[in-house]
Amino acid sequence: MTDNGVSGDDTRAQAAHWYAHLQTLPVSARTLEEFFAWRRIEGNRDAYIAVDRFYNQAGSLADRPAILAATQQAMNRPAHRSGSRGFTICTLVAAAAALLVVGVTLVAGWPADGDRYATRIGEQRKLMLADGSRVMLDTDTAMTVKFVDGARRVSLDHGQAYFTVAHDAARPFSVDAGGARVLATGTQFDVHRDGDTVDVTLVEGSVRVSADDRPVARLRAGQALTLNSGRLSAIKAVDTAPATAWTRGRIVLDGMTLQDAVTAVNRYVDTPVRLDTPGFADARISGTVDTGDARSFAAAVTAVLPLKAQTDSDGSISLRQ
Amino acid sequence: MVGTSAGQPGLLEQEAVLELERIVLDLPEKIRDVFVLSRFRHMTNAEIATTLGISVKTVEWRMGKALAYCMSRLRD
Repeated sequence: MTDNGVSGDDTRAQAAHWYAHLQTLPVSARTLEEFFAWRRIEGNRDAYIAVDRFYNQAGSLADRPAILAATQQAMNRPAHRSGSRGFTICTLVAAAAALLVVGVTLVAGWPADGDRYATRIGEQRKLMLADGSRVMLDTDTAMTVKFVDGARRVSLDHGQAYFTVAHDAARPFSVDAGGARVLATGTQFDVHRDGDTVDVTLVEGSVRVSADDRPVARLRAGQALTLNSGRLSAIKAVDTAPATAWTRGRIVLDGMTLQDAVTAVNRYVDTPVRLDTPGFADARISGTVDTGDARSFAAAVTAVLPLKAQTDSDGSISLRQ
Repeated sequence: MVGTSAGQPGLLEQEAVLELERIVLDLPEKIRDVFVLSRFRHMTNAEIATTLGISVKTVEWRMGKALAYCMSRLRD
């Protein structure tokens, strides 16, 4: 207990196993309670966050040839499948998870009037643009891409997209979202547009943001701003991991109100979760759910709050007392 | 850290990516299989279990091993 080296290793191993365990969905209420109890112990929360950070960072390896080869190898292992117990459960869980469709599209060519890309509710899509920039589209998003001499232009009609911009100082990369414009040369950032409200989160590099052609801010890595009909909120320092967790198929709900969490979860599903008891709208909840997995979300909520989840005939889930 | 202008991807950053890659590729094969399917194919534990013909419990156990191994390597 007093040996920091040993207990540090131990804590890390426990955090790693919890992380792995919680990836098996759905998570039971009992498991969640045990997890929360474990996380309250000094040092455990930080260890868990460190594992999450590593897991997220490893995502940057996705395009590397050796990693692609290793992944392909894993796909091709002969599965020694026996008539397994648990098969039905596996299939059910897989079906629920399949709500989220991730497609990969290669975009070639330089169209004159731009290419339009859109995702349905619950769908996410990765694009590789002709200049080598990568874009990941979140659920229910539409955008147009147009490359001309001297400029790379994207117009975000609605929804959310994460941009990894290939460096090219001669051809600035701009994202227009309503009257807001984010201008970059080589960087990584997230833009979320909901009507007249535009959130910009900068993960790497720096970008300039303008509203109705007026420069309003220069963002640096780890900063975020919100524009509301062209009006700028204060520039905030943020942890970029939660804001970009959707690119890894997850929603991070740390410290969110239940109402906001329900809204976040519902962006990915056709049949929404409804909060049918207003008294709990401001209750704070924490945790991580897979995008599209409203059922696990409801299970987690009912584990920590005195609420019941009831699935209605249309598939929507009602949270009530 | 942050530069004042968008520069080239830093050497440090490239080295960090190479280091991460080395750590993942150095994982023992069975453990690595589970990790890469989760991380790079976005498979659920149940899907990984089906793909590899192992139980979900084994997936969890190997995934935990993979993460613990990577975390300890990161500290070195």
